[in-house]
Amino acid sequence: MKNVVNEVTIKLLGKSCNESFARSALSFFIMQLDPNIDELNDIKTAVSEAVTNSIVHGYRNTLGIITMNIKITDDNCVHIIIRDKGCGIENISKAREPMFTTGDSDRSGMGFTIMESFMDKLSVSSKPGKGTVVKMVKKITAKKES
Amino acid sequence: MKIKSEIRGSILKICLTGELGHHEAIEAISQIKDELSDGKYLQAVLDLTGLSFMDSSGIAVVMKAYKTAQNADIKLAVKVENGHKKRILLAAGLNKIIDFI
Ligand SMILES: Nc1ncnc2c1ncn2[C@@H]1O[C@H](COP(=O)(O)OP(=O)(O)OP(=O)(O)O)[C@@H](O)[C@H]1O
Ligand SMILES: [Mg+2]
Repeated sequence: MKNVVNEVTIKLLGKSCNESFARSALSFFIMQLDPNIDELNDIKTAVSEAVTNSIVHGYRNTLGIITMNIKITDDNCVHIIIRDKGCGIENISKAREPMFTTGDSDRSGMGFTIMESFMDKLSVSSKPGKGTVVKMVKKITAKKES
Repeated sequence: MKIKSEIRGSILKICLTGELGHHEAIEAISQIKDELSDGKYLQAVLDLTGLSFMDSSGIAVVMKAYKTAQNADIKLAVKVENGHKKRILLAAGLNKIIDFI
């Protein structure tokens, strides 16, 4: 990782009404990189997927803290870490397959697939009973001076 | 998220605005079901162009709208512009069963 130029960490209670707060806080913070609308939406979507997963799966029927850490590095990259101390994932590679879900009919099993395709890098680590950490990176293209 | 509908002849247009994530999805599904069973239409358009944000929760919303419409013999199309919303719906393969306009 190149030098960190800015960083923020936010702790959220895992309530679904905080999902839009997480997206807005993220948008606000990464504005300093002047992303285009597609880049911004891609990152917002990926973060929404990860935070929703912590709420819906990690803390299913319980309420816990979700930590969102965002770093900006001098190579114009956004590094995001979403962490929960929920139930964890038994089989990560299975969980990352498209259409795989342990959720109800409101879930489609596409969250990880979307995070992977909308971001440049995705890594997932998890321990059953301990929690889950999702790390993502996306490079923001530099705008030409006009 | 807000939902408004317009009727033009036998076509019902259901317009979603605001943000559609997990928090808004259940309400969206129930309102869309109400709109679709609220009269007799031959066609309906689910207009997502007014949504400033949507994540994978939108997949289930569109799927449930499609199934409700199918049960009511209504032909449903989804209106969505190019961008993150369309890419999410395409990733789930919804274009194979629903017309995108
Ligand atoms: N933070 C987490 N804690 C525990 N389990 C998780 C977590 N994130 C994901 N999972 C597991 O991985 C599966 C796949 O996640 P993914 O986001 O791809 O799909 P989904 O959440 O089930 O559906 P969608 O994201 O399309 O609404 C989940 O069904 C769940 O079993
Ligand atoms: Mg998910």
